[in-house]
Amino acid sequence: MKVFKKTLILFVVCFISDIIALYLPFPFPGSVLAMIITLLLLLTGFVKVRQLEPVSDFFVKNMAFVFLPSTVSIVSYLDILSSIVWEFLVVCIITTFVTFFCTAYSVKLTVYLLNKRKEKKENA
Amino acid sequence: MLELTKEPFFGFSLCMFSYIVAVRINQKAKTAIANPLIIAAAIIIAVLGALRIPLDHFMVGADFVSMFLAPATAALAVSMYRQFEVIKKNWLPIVVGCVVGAVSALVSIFVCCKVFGLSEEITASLLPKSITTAFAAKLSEQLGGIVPVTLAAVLVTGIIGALTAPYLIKVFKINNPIASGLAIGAASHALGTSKAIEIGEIEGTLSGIAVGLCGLVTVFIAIFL
Repeated sequence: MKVFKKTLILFVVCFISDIIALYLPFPFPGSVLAMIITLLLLLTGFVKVRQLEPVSDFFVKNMAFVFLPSTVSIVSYLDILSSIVWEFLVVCIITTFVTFFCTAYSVKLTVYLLNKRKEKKENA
Repeated sequence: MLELTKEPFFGFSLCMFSYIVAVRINQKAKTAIANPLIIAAAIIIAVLGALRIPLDHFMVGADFVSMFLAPATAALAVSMYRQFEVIKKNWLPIVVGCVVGAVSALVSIFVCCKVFGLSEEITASLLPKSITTAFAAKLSEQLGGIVPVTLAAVLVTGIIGALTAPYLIKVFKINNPIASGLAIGAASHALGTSKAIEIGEIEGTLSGIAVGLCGLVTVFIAIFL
């Protein structure tokens, strides 16, 4: 019964999130809303982590499974994809490096500035 | 005979079977390229092709599999909740990293697509590619992209990140584990995180946090796109 209850909590949250997403004045993915609501429920203590795990871990660990059907559908788009395969790969490579570089340096700078402020405080 | 594959249990069972086989292969291979999703999809495509089973027959059962996307995404909240103490302690670098990560990904993808003259549909499909699959698929739908193309881009990006992360850390001289962890997560989502966990505990944890937060930031930015 425990697995049932844990899965039920997740399903109900998803159902409510989908309804809320329908009435939002801007487009927002219902599944992401479900994650935000679950996080809020955990943070406020309405739902305890033990009421969700290990079912939640099972879902997260096997996330790839739920994407199988959409990934298989790629066969319907092979002609589009094969016409841009080089552009596609180059865009993926360049943007991954750019994102990595920007994120790493912004964090490095933030940590550096935080440490500098800390030193100043300690010296003063 | 072919009509029987219209039974929902056919598509669902085929998904389960190929996933089990793919995870086994992945556990033995231990490289980012032997991704379970790629292997499992390849098995299904091969089976459908060899037996000449139409894609729609497979989809009758496979649609039930897709239904689990929402609860799986909701379950991600538990992983984020577990990291809450780490987030609270390092909130400023984390927030800066995730916002910069999300924005730099979106801007660089948009600029690259324009430079290569890719269509609007393809651009919309590629824009969400740096965030985790669960968010990216829905966002692509919302932006008018082609979801399977987005999934392919997400996979390729994740594999590039997982394979190159250790070298990127060296080349860019990132000596701070918080910075490298967040950068791996922001650039290459959950697939990169699997590599980050191998590099170190702090790297792994922060990469996981970046996956969730960058995804959220990107989805919120997309409201205005």
